[in-house]
Amino acid sequence: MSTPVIKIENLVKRYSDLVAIDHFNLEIKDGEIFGLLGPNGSGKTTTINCILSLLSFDKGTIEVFGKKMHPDSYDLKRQIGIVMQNVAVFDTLTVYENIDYFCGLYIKDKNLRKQYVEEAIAFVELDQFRKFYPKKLSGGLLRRLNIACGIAHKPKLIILDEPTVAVDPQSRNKILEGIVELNRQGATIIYTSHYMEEVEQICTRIAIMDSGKNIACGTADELKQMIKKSEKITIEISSISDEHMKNLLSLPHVYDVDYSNGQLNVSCSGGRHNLIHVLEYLQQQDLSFGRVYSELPTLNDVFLEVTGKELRD
Amino acid sequence: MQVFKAFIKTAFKSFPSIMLYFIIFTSLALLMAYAYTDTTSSSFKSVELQIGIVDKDHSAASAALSEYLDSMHELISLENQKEVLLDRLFYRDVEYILVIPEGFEDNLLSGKDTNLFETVQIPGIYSSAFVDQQINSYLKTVKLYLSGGYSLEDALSHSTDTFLDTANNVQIVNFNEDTQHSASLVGIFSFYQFIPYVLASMILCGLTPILTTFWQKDLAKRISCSSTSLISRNLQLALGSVTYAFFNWGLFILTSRIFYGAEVFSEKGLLCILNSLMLLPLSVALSLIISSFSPSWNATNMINNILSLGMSFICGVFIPQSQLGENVLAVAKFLPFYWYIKNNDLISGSSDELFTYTAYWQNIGVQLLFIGALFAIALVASKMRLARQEA
Repeated sequence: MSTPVIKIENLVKRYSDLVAIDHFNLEIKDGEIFGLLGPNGSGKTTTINCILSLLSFDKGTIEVFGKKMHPDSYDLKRQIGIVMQNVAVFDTLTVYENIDYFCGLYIKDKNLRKQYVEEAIAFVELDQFRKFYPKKLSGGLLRRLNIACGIAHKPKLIILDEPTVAVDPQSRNKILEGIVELNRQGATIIYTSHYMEEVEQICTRIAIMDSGKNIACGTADELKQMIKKSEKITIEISSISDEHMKNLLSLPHVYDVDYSNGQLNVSCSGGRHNLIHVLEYLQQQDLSFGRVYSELPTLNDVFLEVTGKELRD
Repeated sequence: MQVFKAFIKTAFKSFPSIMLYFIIFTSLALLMAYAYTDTTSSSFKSVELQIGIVDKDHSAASAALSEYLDSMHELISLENQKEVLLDRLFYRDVEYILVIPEGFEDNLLSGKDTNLFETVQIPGIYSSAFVDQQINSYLKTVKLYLSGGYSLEDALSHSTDTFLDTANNVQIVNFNEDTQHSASLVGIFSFYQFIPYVLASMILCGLTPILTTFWQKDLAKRISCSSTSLISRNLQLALGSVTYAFFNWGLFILTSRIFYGAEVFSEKGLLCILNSLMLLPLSVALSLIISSFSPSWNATNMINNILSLGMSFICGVFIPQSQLGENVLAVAKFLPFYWYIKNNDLISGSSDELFTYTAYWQNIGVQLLFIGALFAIALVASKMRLARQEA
């Protein structure tokens, strides 16, 4: 069995009375795109800071590439690329100079560094902005510069802490495509976000965090299978009696029926053809209805069921 | 050397504004230095006043006193009327009125010490006291001759001769030979008198924003994640700061060399240069302290002005220490610029103290103590910054 890229056991981090990380466990394997999903303040960034030894912690162990991480573990740091949540670049240096600076903190060979910097610029498609100062870049381009600074030295492990915050959809797609490409090139990725769609789209495995705890971990499908709901049917209907609702609840696999604002919501757990069964019942009862939606469960549903609150709270 | 290179590149970006500082303030410093160069005293001319005299005694003694005063001042004979006397004083026709009362000669011969004569003066004029002192000295000398057995005639004649000789043979003797300087050396002293403010301003304004950038929370965290060691990063930052400070200092040395020639590298010039070298670690330490609190550009300018301008005013950069009040100097002693200026004054000879190498090195030593203390504070401030950033 290969050594995990990251292994966290019983991690506890306190800020006075506040427990930011509460007995957190995690194992990330080589080649994964691992998503850390959780609302703001759930402890994602604190966990990342502990992994990078930017923060000391109260209890537990963290191993990176099988070795314990310390502030002076420079051999390990050489293999890690970090893209911080807040853009961290020099306003006084150009795009090229910034990437060269950060790459130079890892790569001493001048020629190799030059090649890596050019590759990073090409990767994030900032070639025509290479002489621009950060203040002249849009939010999306700035994020791409931030990524280039983090990945230019070709690390084996890349940690991206909410890299798409406040980014337009076009830039967001470019960033996500880039992350998948980096993974294809051999890098293990840790991706933290509170955007469940992004995490679901690119991550091979996901850990859901809340109040510093790892509340669920697995692939997106595994997580969804953990919860009761497998399908949510929404039907626009002008009115419906309590008796009809009772009858709908008695249909196979239906476990919750609710009506509000002209919408009938039917939650089903497991089973197939649930939508057909519900529509057949409505037709038999001669109830006229408008548009019909059928949704599979999302990670938000997982989060809602496990914690009792919305992911975006 | 990535950190060092980025440091220099960042410093280069603030170069135009720093150069503006340099040009404006160095021009002022040179102008002031030029003005100071012309103030060296090499000749003497006694003050000549218009003295009104009312002689009621009409004796040989009163005539001799009048003659003595006439040799140094312009004497105007006045009528003995109070209103006339006051009018003449009011319109400044005369600056001092001497009234020689009846019985003046008799009183002199009898050895009377007080109320030998009366005066009417303009209040608050220091030259009046100067005439008082001349008359008293003259009369004391006459009395000395009289007590020595001389006749009144001889006593008056000898006294007049003695005083006229003294007045005509004034020579400026400087007991500190070291203070006899060439014009360019005087210019150098004045130039180095003014540079603490400019040099400190340039270093504080230039270095603080660079260090603030490097220590900005997100950037510092990002750099900490790299494989370049903390020691290497700090050494490179230190090297950048030292290079920046020396570059600024070099500009001043070069300027003084251009304007004052090779004399800058004379013994006195080198002492000034060495003294000014103390300003570098001092300004760097101040910059380290300020940047630990991550101030904005405006706040940096404000703090810089308070520190460099405040210290310059209190410590005698703009106003000579000899003209500062005792209370101000008592406060200034707790500031490093005071010891810099004190040393500069010592080298130029404008200090009360005679120049000795012991005194010079003592002043350097005090400045080094200040530097040590400031670096210790900078270390504490840096620890506080790190603690703040981790929280």
